[in-house]
Amino acid sequence: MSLLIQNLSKAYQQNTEKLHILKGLDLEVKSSEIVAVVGASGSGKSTFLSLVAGLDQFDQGEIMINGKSIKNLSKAEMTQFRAENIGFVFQQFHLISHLTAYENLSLPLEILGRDFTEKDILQHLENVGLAHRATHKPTELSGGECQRLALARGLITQPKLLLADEPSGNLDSETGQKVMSLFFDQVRASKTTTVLVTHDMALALKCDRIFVLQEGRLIER
Amino acid sequence: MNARRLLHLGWLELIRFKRITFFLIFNFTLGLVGFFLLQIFQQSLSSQTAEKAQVLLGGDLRVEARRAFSEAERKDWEAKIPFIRKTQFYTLFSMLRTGADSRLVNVAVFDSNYPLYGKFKIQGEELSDAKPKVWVDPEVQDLLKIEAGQMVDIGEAQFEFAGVIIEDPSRLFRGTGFAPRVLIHKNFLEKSQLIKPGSTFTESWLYEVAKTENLPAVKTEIENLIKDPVVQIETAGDNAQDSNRVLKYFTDYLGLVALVALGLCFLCGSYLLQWTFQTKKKSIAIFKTLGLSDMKILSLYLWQSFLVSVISCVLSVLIVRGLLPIVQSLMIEKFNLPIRLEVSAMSLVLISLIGVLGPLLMTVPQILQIFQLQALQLFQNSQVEVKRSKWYFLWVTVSLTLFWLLSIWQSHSVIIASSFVGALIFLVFVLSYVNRALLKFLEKASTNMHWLTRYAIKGLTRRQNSTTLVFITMSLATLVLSLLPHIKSSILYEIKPDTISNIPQLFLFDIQPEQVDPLKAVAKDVLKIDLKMRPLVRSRILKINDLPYERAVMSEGFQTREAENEARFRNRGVNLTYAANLQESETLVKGQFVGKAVPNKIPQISLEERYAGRVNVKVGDKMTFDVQGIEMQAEVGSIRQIRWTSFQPNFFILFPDGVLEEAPQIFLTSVQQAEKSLIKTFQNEVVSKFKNVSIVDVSRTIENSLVYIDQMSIGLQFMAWLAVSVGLFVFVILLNTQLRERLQEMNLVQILGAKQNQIQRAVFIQFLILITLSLVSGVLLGLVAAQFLMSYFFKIQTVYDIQYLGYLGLVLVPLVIGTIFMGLHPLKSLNPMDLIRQL
Repeated sequence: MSLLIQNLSKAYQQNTEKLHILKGLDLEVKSSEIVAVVGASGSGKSTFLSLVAGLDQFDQGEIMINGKSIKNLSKAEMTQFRAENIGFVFQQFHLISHLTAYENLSLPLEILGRDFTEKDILQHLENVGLAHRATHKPTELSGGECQRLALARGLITQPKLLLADEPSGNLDSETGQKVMSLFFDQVRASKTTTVLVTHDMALALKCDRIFVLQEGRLIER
Repeated sequence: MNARRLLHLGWLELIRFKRITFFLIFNFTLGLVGFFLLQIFQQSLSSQTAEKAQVLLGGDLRVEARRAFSEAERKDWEAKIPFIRKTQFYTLFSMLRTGADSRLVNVAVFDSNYPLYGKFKIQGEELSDAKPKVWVDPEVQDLLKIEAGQMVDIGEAQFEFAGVIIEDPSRLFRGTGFAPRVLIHKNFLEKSQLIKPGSTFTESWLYEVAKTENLPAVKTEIENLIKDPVVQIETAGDNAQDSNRVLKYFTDYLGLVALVALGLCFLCGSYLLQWTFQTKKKSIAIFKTLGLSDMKILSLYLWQSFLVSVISCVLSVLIVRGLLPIVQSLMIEKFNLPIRLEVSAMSLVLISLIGVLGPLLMTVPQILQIFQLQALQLFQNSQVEVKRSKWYFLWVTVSLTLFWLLSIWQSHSVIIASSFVGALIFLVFVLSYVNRALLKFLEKASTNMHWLTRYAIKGLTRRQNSTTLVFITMSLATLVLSLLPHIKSSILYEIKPDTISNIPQLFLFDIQPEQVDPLKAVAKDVLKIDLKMRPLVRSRILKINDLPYERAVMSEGFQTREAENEARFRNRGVNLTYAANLQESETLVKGQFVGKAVPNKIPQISLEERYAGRVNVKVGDKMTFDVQGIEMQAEVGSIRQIRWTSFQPNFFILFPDGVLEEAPQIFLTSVQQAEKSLIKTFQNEVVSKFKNVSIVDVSRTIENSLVYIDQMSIGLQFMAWLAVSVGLFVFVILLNTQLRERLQEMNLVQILGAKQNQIQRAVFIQFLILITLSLVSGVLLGLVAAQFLMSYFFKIQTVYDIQYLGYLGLVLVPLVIGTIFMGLHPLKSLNPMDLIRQL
């Protein structure tokens, strides 16, 4: 089991009112499986992702990634665990604007202190069709290229879990389709367990399973 | 959208972007405060000098020359002046002797009508003509320890010490001259025999007139009547322009340092405005799609800029008002400057103009971008290339021209202002090139370093524009701060007698020809040295290349320092000397100097380089002199440099031997360093045997100059620190804005596995590298600039004040580190969840 979530609850205090966002949410994602999480705006998708990524504390329940509970990890331990086990792909790419495509890819490996060669990085760039853009900065790339680069960065550390947050949300439909096709090819080829948060049902249908986030719980469709 | 709504929208935006608005206001206020303070000082000095113009001149009109007037010529000019009262006044140098000691003094000889305006404040007896009495400046009494009633010798006469001059109406600012003033009545001038043929003295006639409106016309009439350019005719108005020249020069230079600070503020303001514009681009695109015209968006930005500038102006006025009493007591009163700092309407108008127009001018590049902005491109998140149009370059040209004009206005000199602006532009180019080169080197050198250091360095190298701005700002500020002490220490080294042994101890002048041999004998006897006499022949220039060299008529004051200097040189007589060889302090730069004139041929003279420039002559030009009534032509055969700080008897114009020997002349000489007691004996012997000979104690004069240099440098340092504060402020702003801009990046790096302390360390390293490079470059450029200024401008040896650099480091390093820590504040709001919340 790559991701196991049991009875996950999270509430926020807003003025005098307590907002219960997640109410005993459960999810099991098998190794190499790609699941889609869909939901209306304000259903708690962001909260769900933040908790799985260990960026926020949950009130109740358990999250286990690759068999390890993240509940009692300290901030520093969580940072290390996240870097080693979780990859991200964001809707707004979030690339480092002053670094080249090559440097954006090598940075996560450098932070982790992993050895790599230039060939490794170029191979990952080649995988997403960007080898010829290695020395270009994000500002010199198109939206589709940026997202392909973000995808390559999300996978370069060979994470156990990839969290993808509306990866095509910022792209036009044609580019979005191309990028997502590449996305599925890459995650399947790397056998990375993936949670894809989206509101695009067509995209969700390409995943192995679909969950709808509704009233703080995930319901499989 | 109507105008009211538009104005409201502009106001709302300023409030919503309150941090940037605060930075902008603070930035412009900081620059304006320094400049405003200086304006107040200049305006107060100028207006209070003008108010006291009659008192300073001692009358409404003055006719003056460094020679005696004949009664006939005086009667001629007096026929033109409708005066009520008049007074005659002499000034000359002489030795004041007590039984045991002596001191060179500036003797002012007054008559019973003096002063026509104002009143002396005396501690002791009031001025009178009853008995031979003397009134002295406080330092004469301090130095010679004379007591009331004690008799002192001046020339051949004895005077009773009657009192100390507490306030002299003719001297607004009592600078450190090489001789303090003493007053004696004219009735006792003859007895003192202070004025002999060939003596150096100034005779002045001062007039009080009923109607001052006609004075300019009267002045012109007298100028037409007296052709001799040695005679100067001044009205009270003219004198107000001319008085306190040293102080005015000094404030001119202070003004330039204040301009550096102001320029840096505007540079920073421009960056902030551009930064704000970048963050607002999307809203502008939205305005455009909602139908707001480019002109209305432009008005919105101009309105905001106007509001910011008005608030900055008001704040700077309030701050300066608060600071005035402190500056008055700390700077003005400490240095005995009788100036009341007052905010004048003129200063207010000027500061408002600069304060309002400056920020508006800085808005122009953004305004140009409004027209180029394509809303669609922005919404598609595609890279919007902003091309620099011809309007942008026009803006740069206009801004630089305005800055140049402001510099001329501030320095009263086209040459100084042009050199200043030119040097600034040159430095900006050099610094930006140095910055790029250093960063390139750093990036290469960091290839094998820890990822944190590499990441930090890339943060600098890949943001060239903002990095260059900080680099230039901080380097320039440090350059200004570190340069001044080098200039000071070089000058001190040059004039300090204990470091340069060939600076003379004494300087003797007004030696009559018949006194030359006896004086040499005394020197030989007491000091065992052979005195080298330098002849001085008075003359005036009649023609240059056969064109009459006439008096420059100053009708409405001089607009620039160059014009003023030129006129001053034109209006005064010139002292000539002759010798067979050049002195050690002289170096030939053009032509040849032949020490012996060839009979029946036009003599070949040598001119000092800068003097030749001022009177606009070159090698081969012909000059005609009036030497005591005899016309004499000479050809400029060579140009030479003089090391004035050698304190040797140096002259602008040098004749060869064999031309001037027969002309009426006096002699000067200098006495090298010797044992103190011997010097004292020699001085006493000279004073008692040669009563008309004046002696300057060079060491004491230098000591006085050092005090003066110290006072001046405090003012300059104050302004330089203002420039550094501006630099640091720019740094804080950039640190703050860049960190906020990069919070998202930092969040991402944290998600990628970097710990928060690693991120803080990376940012700290990044800015520490940047600021260290800036400071080091500023200090190094300061060393280069000092070398350049000393070699080409002052023409003296450069002596670096390394100790000061150490102190500077001790102050700047903690200041900078503290500033970086302060600037890291935005990192506290790091939260990687923000990356997901942006959904």
